[in-house]
Amino acid sequence: MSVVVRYLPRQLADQLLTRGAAMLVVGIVILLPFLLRVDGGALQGEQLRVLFVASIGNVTTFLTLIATYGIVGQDIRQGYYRFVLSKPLSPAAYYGAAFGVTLAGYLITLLVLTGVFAVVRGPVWPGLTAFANWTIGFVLIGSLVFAFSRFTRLDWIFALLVFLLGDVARRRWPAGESVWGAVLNVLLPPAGQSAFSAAGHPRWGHILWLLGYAAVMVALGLLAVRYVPPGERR
Amino acid sequence: MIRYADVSKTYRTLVPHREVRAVDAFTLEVSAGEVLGIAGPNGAGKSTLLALTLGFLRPTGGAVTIDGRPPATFVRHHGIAYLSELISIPSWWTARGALGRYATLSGLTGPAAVERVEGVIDRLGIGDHRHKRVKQLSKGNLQRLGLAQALLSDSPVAILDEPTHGLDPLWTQRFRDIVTEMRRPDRAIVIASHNLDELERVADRVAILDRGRLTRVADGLAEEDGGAAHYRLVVAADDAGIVAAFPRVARVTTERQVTYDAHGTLDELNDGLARIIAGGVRVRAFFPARSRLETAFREAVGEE
Repeated sequence: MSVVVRYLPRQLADQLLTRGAAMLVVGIVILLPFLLRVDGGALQGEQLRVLFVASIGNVTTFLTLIATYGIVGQDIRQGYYRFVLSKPLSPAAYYGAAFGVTLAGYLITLLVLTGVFAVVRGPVWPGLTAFANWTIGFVLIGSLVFAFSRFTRLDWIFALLVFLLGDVARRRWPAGESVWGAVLNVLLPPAGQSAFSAAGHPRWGHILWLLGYAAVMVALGLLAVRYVPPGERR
Repeated sequence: MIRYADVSKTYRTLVPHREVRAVDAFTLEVSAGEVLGIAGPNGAGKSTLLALTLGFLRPTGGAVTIDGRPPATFVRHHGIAYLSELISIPSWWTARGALGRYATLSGLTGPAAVERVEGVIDRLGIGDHRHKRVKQLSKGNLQRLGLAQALLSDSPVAILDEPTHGLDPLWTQRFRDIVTEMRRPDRAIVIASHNLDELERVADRVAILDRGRLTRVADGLAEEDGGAAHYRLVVAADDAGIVAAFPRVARVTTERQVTYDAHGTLDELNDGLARIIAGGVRVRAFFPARSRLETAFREAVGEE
């Protein structure tokens, strides 16, 4: 078993103790009105589930940014990389595992939030579709943050800028109207369509496109880790 | 084992446009079994040279190789027992937890990992602090923790950057024993330090850097010196015979004791010392005014 795989539980513990705790606080604050029964406890069953899913859905982007910002950049800024990367391991494997661990930490935090909600308000299960949606959202945004992470600890700002400017660019140069628009459509993060239909059926073509785009972003981030030495500023 | 071939590293900034040559045409080879010291004034390029050796930086000219491979490749396969000048460990980790993590990353598992971790905790005397968080450790204890994580490694290359920084005199002395234990016929050890006395005691050779350039390699530091030496003599009371006893001697004015600077070969100094003692002078101390390395260092960086 490789060093990186054996180290995964410790990476996950660190992720949960630091960023997981922060995500939990944010999630609880968002859910506070329901936890405090400001609805007088009137909402039950499917209504409660829909509101829970919608509330969490409103902050998944924020939670993703908390989970993924500075995976590489913070290590470099704080100097933690010095002792870690002097050990016999592949930097790309180490930070690739760190990205995977942030996804696991994110999902565990969402499960804990579901549990907290269930204890205070009663059993609620968001459903696999909700978890799949949250996971796809995480992978898409998190991968873009990770792609910038070797170069700046403000990776999350750059990722948000790409999304915002991408949205503007799509409106300015629609994909079907020019070659430039078609190129932009491939280069910019996928947008404009949900991964699941209103009835909850997966749109597999779109899901594959989303995951493929995310895989390319993670690969770019790993290539940067592999070929740009950690002590180099850029 | 470690080969520096005409290595240069230039830092460039675009705004404002500036170039700083931190290491300039550095050529040297460090053999297995050797302890190489690196000395130099602040900003001489010592830490940059070590970062190049670890693959943390890429040279802008020349090449660094370890066992014929680029440093990053060597580190991926063997790791390097490394102590950085700045000890950066997540502040919420405990001392024991940090060592456990670094042991895992060093490839140690199961009882062997536990044994090694406990061994370095004992060796570095941090047993009382094992459950303290890193942020609660004093500078000296943090330095010892950094050294402890380096000792977890079995790598054939060890790099220690300012290893005694923040250590008290007792642990500075113990550090020498640690380096002696780290020595192996198959291991190259590189130590960068401002502490010339420490380097003189532990290193086989010392490379002196000044403004990025290798200005001198002082070797044979432990050998007897037949050349001139500069010693300081402290006596209980002044005596006219002292000036006559040594070939070159000058009284040094100090408020609290009678002190002379004596120059000569070791034989001349021994003779002079015997003569003044025979003449009834009570000698309080006789010690090198400057170590050989310090003399070499001052010459190399152009300071008398």
